[in-house]
Amino acid sequence: MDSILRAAAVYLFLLLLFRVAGKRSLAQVTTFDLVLGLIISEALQQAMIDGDDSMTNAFLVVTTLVGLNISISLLKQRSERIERIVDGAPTVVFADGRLLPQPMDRERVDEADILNAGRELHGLHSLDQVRYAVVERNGAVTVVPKDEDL
Amino acid sequence: MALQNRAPHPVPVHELVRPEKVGELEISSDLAFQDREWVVQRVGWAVMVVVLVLTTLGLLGGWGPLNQHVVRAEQGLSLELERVVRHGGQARFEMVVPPELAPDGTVTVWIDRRWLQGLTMENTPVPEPESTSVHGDVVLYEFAASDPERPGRIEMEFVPDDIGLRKGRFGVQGGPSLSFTQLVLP
Repeated sequence: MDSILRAAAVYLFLLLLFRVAGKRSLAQVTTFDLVLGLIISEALQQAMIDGDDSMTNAFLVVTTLVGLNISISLLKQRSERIERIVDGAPTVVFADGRLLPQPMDRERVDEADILNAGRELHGLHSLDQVRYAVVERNGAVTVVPKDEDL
Repeated sequence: MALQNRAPHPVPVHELVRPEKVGELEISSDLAFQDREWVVQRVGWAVMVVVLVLTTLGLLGGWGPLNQHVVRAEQGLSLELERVVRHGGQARFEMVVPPELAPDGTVTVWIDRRWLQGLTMENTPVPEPESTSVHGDVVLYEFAASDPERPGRIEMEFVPDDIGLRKGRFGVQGGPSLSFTQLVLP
């Protein structure tokens, strides 16, 4: 029982923490983000297993985490509201040929990120070729080029 | 033929999907929700700062200027302990027994047994007791006083097993006693 409660507490804590941290927190996996992920898992490991190194405990913890993930994905499937609460909603940061400063500030995205996405996804070289730019739920910036650039 | 006989779908597909539009971009963006989300995130950041400040002060356990606490009783008897400790973490307390309470070179201190049951002793108290016995609701530890001039310090290291607010009592047999409270975080 306590294995399940521990794993569930850690799962919910991480869900809350990364929602509060914002979409962009671990969206770009830089070398440091990768290391940070490893450190976070190391720090939480003890809290989840609480000195019980048995295989039973490990299986219970993993089953709980995966089970919760399935449950939440089912809930998201059924309710758009829950999906928004858990994953957030995409944010338009560039439309009609202009940058939208407030959403950009909130999502911590700058012009360079939009240009970067344009280059990476469509080979664009300037903002003039961009029609829309969106910060997706997973924190990635996507770009819709103007029709003539397609 | 079968295709022609099939009834049209009762709900148009676009109503099922309900795309919202920003310009010509079909996207399920929700500005009102994003405003709320932004506020919640900033509140969350503030909470994280508060947690870090409390931790720095020692109010969430561990080392910190506000966590060390001294409970005093009559005749100079005192107990140094942490206000907040963590379940499974290391904790210690130190009893200070003045020499007047050990006139014949030995002193017997007692600790509330119920309090001791909620923790695991890491090792034997320092200095090591001459004897340990259980007497009703208390555990008795008999120590030899090392220096008749100076107060004796008895140190115990333990790992809290219970969670929540824990009250305990400690004293010298036939002498003063004191009660203390400690918060054990999960």
